[in-house]
Amino acid sequence: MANNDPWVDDRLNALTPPAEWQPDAERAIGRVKERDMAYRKRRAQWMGSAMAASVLALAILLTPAKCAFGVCHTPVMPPDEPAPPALASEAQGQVRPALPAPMTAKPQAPHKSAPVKAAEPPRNFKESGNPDAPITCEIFTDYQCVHCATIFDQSVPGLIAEYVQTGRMKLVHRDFPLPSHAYAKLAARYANAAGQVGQYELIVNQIFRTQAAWAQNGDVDTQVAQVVSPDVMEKIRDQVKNDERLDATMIGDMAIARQDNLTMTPSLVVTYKGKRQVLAPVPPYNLLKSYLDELLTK
Amino acid sequence: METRAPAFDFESAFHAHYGRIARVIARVIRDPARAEELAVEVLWKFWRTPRAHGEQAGGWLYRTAVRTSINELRRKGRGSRHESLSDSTPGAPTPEDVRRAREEQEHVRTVLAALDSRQAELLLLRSSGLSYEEVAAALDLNPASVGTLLSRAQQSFRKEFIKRYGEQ
Repeated sequence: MANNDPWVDDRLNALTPPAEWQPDAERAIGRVKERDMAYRKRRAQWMGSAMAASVLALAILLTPAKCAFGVCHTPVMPPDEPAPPALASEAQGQVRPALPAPMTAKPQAPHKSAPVKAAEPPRNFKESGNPDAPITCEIFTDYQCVHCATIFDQSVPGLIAEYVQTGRMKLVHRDFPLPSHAYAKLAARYANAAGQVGQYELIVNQIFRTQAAWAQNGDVDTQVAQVVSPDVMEKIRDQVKNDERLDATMIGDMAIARQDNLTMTPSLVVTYKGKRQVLAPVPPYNLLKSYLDELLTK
Repeated sequence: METRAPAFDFESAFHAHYGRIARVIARVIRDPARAEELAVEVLWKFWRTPRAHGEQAGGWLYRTAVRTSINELRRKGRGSRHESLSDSTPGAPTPEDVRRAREEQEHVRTVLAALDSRQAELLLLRSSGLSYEEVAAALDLNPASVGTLLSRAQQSFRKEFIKRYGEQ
């Protein structure tokens, strides 16, 4: 090689491999391809593992949670489990969620697609009160949600006495059965069947009151049968078993819940002057009453 | 008119460079089988590095080959200084010649491992038969400065060699 230090060149040339040594190109290219195949396989395994981990994490996120903080939460759309009763929480000194400002201040976005009246099919047994009342209060419940039972025991009677019976509120009960509650839809069928025979309020209250019993095994029938006559019970059973249209109101209610982006039970939606305000979780009755009274003075 | 880059033909590139790459590595690595393994490693990295394809492929390959072999030399120097000299290098006529040749090779390799990496790369690429232009392309140097840098590298090599083994 043409350079200026033959002494260095001589020593570096000592490194020249023996002339008879010939690298095996065919074997080498095979090894390169094997190496690449192994690399691709490892990468595919890694990506598969990463994907499996992502799916697992997503599944965990979408798994229905236990009821907590006074509500039940739904996995995807409807929330699932209720929290301890409001009064119990108060007794333990827990901080209650503050009520939102009245709707006239800054309500949630009005529900253009589901105006209260327009979306309602003829299901009058779920409504009570003056149809022209200034306030419409929709209460979304799951019959297997313990907090919904508490609301019906502690808050709904006050609403009926102070607002519905005085003509200031139309009360609408809506079904929002959560996927995590195995018997919630069955209970809703019994309640709606009772509504068809004029016994809606009676059966709703009975189902909530006996929730702990039928929630164990789904035997709603036995509990309902305790408060109605045998012939009425036969009509209810017949509808529960055979009426394919019985779930129509429940399906409609769930669609409204989705439009309102509800994720828990119980939830209240108060409509005043055409604006819908979601109250979820539902505040204790005294705060709810203050809120409604302020609305009515506007 | 739309122009499209030609598809990369790895097999052609492999056959064009593999033998020379393996020989460059074998100058530094005493074991020919190990030199072939490292050449395979270099060619596989080349395959997985799209930016190395094209006109600069040769430069990228020789640069990577020399660096890989110097790293291997330094690693082996640290890990197995007691390694036997009895490894096979075919072609030497007598046992004494073989011993002497291998000893000299070991001295050269030890000095290369002790030099600045860039100077060792320059010396190895040039002694492997690459032109100044090819050396400049491989090491991303100005071709006009290769001669000067090479001269300095040779001076460093001689100085380090004599310091370690005397004027042989």
